[in-house]
Amino acid sequence: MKLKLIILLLLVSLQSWSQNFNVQSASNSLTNKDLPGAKKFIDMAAEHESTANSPKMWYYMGKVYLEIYEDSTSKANGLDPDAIEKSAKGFLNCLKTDTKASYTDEVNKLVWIPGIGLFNNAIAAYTKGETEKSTRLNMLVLDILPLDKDNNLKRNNITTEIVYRNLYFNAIKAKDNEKAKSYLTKLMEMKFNDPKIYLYMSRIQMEEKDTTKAIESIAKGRALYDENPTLMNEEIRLYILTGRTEELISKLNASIETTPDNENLYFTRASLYEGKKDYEKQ
Amino acid sequence: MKTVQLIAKWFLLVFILSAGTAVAQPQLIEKVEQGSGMTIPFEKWKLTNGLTILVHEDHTNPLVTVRITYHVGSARESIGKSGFAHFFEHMMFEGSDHVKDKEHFKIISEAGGTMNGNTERDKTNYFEIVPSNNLEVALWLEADRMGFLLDSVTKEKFEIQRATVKNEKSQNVENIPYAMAFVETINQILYPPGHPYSWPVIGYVDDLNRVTVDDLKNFFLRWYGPNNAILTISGDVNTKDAIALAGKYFGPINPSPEVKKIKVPTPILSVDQYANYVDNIYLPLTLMVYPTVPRFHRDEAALMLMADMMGEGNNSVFYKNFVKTEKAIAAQVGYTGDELAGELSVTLVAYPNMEDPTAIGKDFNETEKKIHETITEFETSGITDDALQRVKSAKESHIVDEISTTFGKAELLTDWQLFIGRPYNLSDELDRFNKVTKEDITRVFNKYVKDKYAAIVNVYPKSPDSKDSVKSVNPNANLKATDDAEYAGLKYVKAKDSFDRSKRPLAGTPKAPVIPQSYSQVLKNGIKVIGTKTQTPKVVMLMTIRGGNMVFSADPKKSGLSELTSGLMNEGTQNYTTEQISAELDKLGSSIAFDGGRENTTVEIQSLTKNIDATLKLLEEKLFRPRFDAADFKRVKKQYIESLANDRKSADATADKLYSSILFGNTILGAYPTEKNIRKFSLDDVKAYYQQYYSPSVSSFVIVGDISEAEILPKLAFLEKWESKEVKLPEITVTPSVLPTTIYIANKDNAPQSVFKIGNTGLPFDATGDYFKANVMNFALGGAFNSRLNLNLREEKGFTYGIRSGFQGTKYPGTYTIGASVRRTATDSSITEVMREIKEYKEKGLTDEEVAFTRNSILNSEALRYESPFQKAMFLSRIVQYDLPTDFTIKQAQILKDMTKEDMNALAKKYLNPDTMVILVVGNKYTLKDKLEKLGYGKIKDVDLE
Repeated sequence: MKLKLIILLLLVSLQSWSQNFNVQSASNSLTNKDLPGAKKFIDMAAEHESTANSPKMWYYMGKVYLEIYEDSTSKANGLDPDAIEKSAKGFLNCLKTDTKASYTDEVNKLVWIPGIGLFNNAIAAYTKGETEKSTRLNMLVLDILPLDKDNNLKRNNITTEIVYRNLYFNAIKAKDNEKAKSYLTKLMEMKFNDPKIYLYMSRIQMEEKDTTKAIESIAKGRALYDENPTLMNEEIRLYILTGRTEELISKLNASIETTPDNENLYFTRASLYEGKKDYEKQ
Repeated sequence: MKTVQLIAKWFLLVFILSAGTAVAQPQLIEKVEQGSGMTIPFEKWKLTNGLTILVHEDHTNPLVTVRITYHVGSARESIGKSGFAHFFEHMMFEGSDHVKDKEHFKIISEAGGTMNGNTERDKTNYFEIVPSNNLEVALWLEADRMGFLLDSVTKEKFEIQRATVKNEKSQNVENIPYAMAFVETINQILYPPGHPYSWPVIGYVDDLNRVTVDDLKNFFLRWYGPNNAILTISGDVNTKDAIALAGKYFGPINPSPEVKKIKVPTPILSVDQYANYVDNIYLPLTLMVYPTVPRFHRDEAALMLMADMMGEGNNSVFYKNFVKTEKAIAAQVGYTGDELAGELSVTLVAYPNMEDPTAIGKDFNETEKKIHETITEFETSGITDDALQRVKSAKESHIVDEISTTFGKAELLTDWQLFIGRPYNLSDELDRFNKVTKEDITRVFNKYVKDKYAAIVNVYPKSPDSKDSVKSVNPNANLKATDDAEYAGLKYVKAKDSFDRSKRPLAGTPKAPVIPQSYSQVLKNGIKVIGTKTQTPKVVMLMTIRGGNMVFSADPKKSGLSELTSGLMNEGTQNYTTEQISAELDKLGSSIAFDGGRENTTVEIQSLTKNIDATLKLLEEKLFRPRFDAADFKRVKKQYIESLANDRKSADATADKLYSSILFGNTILGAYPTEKNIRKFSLDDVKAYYQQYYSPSVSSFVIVGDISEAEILPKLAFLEKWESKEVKLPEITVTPSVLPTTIYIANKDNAPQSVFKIGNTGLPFDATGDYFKANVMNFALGGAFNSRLNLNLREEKGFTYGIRSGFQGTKYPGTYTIGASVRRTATDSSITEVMREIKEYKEKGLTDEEVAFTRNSILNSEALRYESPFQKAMFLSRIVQYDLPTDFTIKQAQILKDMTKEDMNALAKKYLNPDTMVILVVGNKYTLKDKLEKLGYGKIKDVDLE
């Protein structure tokens, strides 16, 4: 019995050792620029229970797949088309599991790098109509952004606002209005500086036949961007559509009082009078 | 009934007959009279073909500016067709039906005038400034290229100009440190793709390569009609005559299709937009630009003043937080406005991080953070009445400068008409700024800057072992250029004249130039004073203290102390800190700037006439009681050292230094300041320089402004308190070299252009001797656009954007130099052509035509030499520096008239020495050396800056 226990213990530790060996071998292969070898070893380590959730495994997963992504020959050979996604997950999971902070510093220096690849791949996926994939990759970018303390992603024009904007486009392409509205709402809360988000919200609401909310969305945008011609035109269109021309003329008169040298206001009011065939006032 | 019908038919017949022969009559639209105070009176007329004509009479000098502005620039281009407007501008100088190729330049030059053109985002300007007896000639030339250009556009001319434009881009953008950031990169991220301002005015090379002759012809037909142009005539003219001539020459020209205003939304940035690139620079640059409103928008005046408050001068928050703390060598905030959008820009040139150059990414982060903190500080403490008043005073002074020449006035009149359709009103313009309140500043700050996003370009210095060079990249390269409906179906319909346009009009009787009448006096302590009275309500004064670095002829390594001392003279005084004295000057709208150099220290003083007393008090303070503060010294010295280090990246700066050094060797004339030598100077050295070498015994004082001799001279009494001391200036003679012509090369990694200087030591300045005569001789070789060198290398071969030659001398021996920046691949060919031209000029001399061209051009140009306050000041400065008689130009004119072809040829033989010249090339040594060695000038010598 004792012997069986010892043999069992030996077997378990042998297995554990062999999985650690896989992680180490992945590291060695990486050092030797043997990317296929590194991939093989780290994948094996990821599958085994003893190393599947170890920060060390995740760390090397991040590094191996980052190297695969960046290496042009491995890209050409199609070594792993999901390399950048796996790299990002590797680093992120390493940070989650690294309670002793053995790898945290190193990961923090590197984690932003997959962010750029993910962002670009997300756009490529969107272009191909792969909205689910695009959304998934964008979500990973959102996870990485708070970790980029040196603003490397920001200096590459990747910000939380831009990612949410791209998520909105994905949702629209996937015809998921609820998701689209949630992303637009998020952008509005973040005070994203683009008048078009109010237009986009309004259009979804018009599609849902909620003209009141559509007009409210445009009004919110107009309050922030009072000279934006796109919002002005949309407001006119909606007011006319809903037969609220008189109300619109009153609004314009009030705006002209405050900004009398804004030509667009006069033009708009004149157009409305023309529409009413009130040529004298026009 | 029959009688009535007969009469009616008779009237109808008369009407028909007169309609067939009537010349379209110009119509007076508006007249602005001379008011009290500063005004620009003018008349606005219109022809039936839509041409707007503005005429302003100014009989102060016998000259006139003729300016045509077409309301088309790069903003009318489209994706795939960038650079067309600028390319077309070049074609406008290539001749027309009645004006041969290059003849436009020649005619204007011979008339004694100057001319040029420039393309901007929204407009393209062409102008001539000529003696006023040539008004008709200038109008005939402009009308010919407006109405009769297309048939003279040949494929050959087109290809030469395509090469010239590409050279211009290479020389002025790719080969100039930082230029790419300002010309291309910032616009690509500030404006959305497809926005008319997102591509550079000069265009992308692949677009320029793609354009065809027909593309350019269509561009002309679409945009270059009289109905899309404003003709402005400003100067010594009679309005009635000017209008009649304009009607004659421009009236018959057919209009182009209607031109509508471009409508694009003002750009909005949703997040900060970044672009980074690596350049051949030493000091990292951050350029941050906020999008704002179009020109003449109601918020523009407040934005312009706000920019000055934030970042102009020693009292601005940006100076305080970046320059004074030695984080940056320069930190400025500026504002520009165009027809579709404006830009508020922060430009920061930081010191390099010598401790950890790899941390540059972090450094840029820090810089950006500091910029935002500084902007916040401006909000909380920078918007004060005092600061606002200071910038308003400076603005008033600047506006006065703008109206001091006929050219400046023409530009203002045109721009107001073009952009807002209103006559220029000087009072309104001053009011626009004077009415801005502190609340306005806060309002525009909140609206356009606070918590708003910007386009940010970070320019990284190239690592020493990198072989990369700056490359322009077209972001639209993969997009297909589409056919624009605007260019469909355009037809060239030439005007029908009732006169023979092929006959060039004759110039009228020339008027004598108005040489400034001057007064002079020598003060008790030896200061030579000279001045003249003008009409502009401003006074410009130039003080020259001879010496500079020449006082170190026995120890050339001290070269640079003159510059360092003048840097400290620009700082505080015993009674004022730097910030305090700057504030005092700003409140007056005045400036006092010391500038030390090789031979002199000059002090430039500017003041509105009404503030002259207060300004002179501050001059007295600065001149006699400099502070020489240790902290200021440390900062100024560091700035100077770093700017010298940065100069190493400039091919032009490198060429200037090495050229003198090769020609003059180890003498003071060949010395130049180096970082190593400047580091050795102490504050005591600066104090000693000031004590020993700033002396009235070597000083002169020039005054030009709206103040009489009787008024100004008593005000200069304070200068007599200045104690005189002897300053020994060296006498230097130079023996011309007998060494055979040798090529020297200094490396500039991957430079797309080579800068060269070819020449030898030359003569000191002499107003009426061989120096003057030798420059006359040189005029047809390289002293004008139509000179042999320029016509060969630029116009015929497309090697360069421009080449010139000339003798430059002062009290000390000077140089004869031929200089240019050429395409790298044409370096050897360019040198071959230059040497061939010099030899031929020396051996065969000038042609009769060249002699006449030279004589006429120089004689007739005198009318243009005395217009602006600075031109007058330089003229008087020359008189006092070289002890010239006040009428020396009359003697020069007589010499010129008397010089024969044989005289000029003899001078060519004497002073052009192609066998003993220095040929200095600054460029990519590794690709050039072999080719240069094949030119047969022996072994190439490597040179480098110390």
